[in-house]
Amino acid sequence: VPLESVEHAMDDVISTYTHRAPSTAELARAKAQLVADATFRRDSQFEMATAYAQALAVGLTAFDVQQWPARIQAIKARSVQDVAADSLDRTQSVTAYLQSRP
Amino acid sequence: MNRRLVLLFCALLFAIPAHAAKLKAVKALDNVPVWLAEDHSLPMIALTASFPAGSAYDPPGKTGMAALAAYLLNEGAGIMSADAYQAALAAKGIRLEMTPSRDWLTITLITVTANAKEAFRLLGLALAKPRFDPDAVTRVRLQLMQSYDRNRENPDFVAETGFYSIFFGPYTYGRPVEGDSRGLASISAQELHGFAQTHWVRGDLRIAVAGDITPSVLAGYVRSTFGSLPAVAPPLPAVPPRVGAPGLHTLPMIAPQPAVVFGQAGMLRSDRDYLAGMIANYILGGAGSGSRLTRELREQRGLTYDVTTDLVAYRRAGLVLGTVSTRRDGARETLTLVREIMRKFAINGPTEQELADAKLYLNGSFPLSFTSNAATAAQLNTFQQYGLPLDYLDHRTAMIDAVTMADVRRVARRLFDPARLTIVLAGSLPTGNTEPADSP
Repeated sequence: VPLESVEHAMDDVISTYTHRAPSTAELARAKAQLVADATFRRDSQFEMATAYAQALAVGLTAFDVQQWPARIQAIKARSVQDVAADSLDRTQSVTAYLQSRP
Repeated sequence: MNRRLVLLFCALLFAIPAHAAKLKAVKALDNVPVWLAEDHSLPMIALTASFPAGSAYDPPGKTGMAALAAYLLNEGAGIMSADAYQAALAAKGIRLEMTPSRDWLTITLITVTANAKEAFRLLGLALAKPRFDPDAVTRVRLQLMQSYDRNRENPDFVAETGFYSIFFGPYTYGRPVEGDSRGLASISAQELHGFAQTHWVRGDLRIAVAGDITPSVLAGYVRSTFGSLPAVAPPLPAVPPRVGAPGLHTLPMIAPQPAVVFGQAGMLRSDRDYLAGMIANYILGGAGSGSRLTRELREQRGLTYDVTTDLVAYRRAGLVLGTVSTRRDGARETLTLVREIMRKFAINGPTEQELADAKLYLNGSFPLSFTSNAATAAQLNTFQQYGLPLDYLDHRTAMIDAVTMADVRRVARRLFDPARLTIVLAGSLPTGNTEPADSP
């Protein structure tokens, strides 16, 4: 498979949500996984300490960490599309190929 | 004096794992041990289950059967295709992982409490009604074959695979757990169905659960998930007739750092001296940066960054298994020293201080295996695999403390005999050297 085809296929997937909102099922699945993963992380003392440390290091509070699952649940499909359109900008991206010597 | 007492008190307190206190056996299915560490502090449940479906049961010529079947467990079940099955897991944030090893297929299921019913339902479906669809079989087979090809360029893998092959010969433990190209290529969907029906069974099944669930609810889930599986266990492979091929075996490959795996016959977990062996191994090569081998090879001579030994207890054979990697021109010196340090340890045994330190570590670090529901379920299931009783956790500390210097010396003589070492080196040694030959 030529790398160009792989790149174009990836670009297509990445740009999906810049012009349409995720479906109800897609959004629910993403939320279920994020919230479940947050619970599983709390199962490990190390991961829990890491989560709090990372939040505090960038100026968030312990309250933000505790609220995180509820905030994830509250996110609307439309805002996912807005953020995708805003941040997944093809013209701002860099792609590099690692190829064998000719 | 007060401070000492406080320290002693803390040590005793920590010696009893928090989960152990609430550990109980749940009656759900005949002859299926189900252990539960009930803990409602987080809304989640972790399950670890082991089936008699490891690579030891691979039919001749079909190396990789157990692993291929294992990795296809979450690739479609009942009326659900692989995509539909994965989507169903993802929709509820359920984690399902399969780990094939030599003796066992170990399955880990982790779910939030609210989705437990669906998690157990999906697992039960996968076990009882696997699909082994052609596209899924092809995809997973290719993944395993590619990973085997990539691994053949990795000296650590080549040395370990080579060691098992040379040490066990044609015996079933001698084959690679994740298969080889020829075996993987020859396995059909029909054979996978046959393997699942005879090995994904509740005969010999062992289940450990930790987290937010009561015994009665768990018993119901266990019955609905595993109850319909056949009750017959596959016959265990025969005991290997002869193991080991003492001496140095070189597997030539281009590698900047040769990798070495060495070993000799060890102990079954049921051996009366097993804990003494664990202590002896810890002192010689199990203690990481504190082991004798590390002190001598790394700290004093700079020959390696990493040298370890381990006691490995399979169901049909035990191993003392060591690894070391070193620079090319240090390999011979390293191997000579490993033998020498081993020989001295077998003759002289540990010092009183080493013995006391080992007991302190092995008892003091034990509770760290129980710091999460996932870790607790995995650790309990390991004990079940070994056939240890439920109250092992209550007695382990005292059993370790009761091991004497004489016990450790006796076991060290039995376990560490440089003349019996099978040594496998992947890489190359400098040619034209004048050092003595490596094989005794």
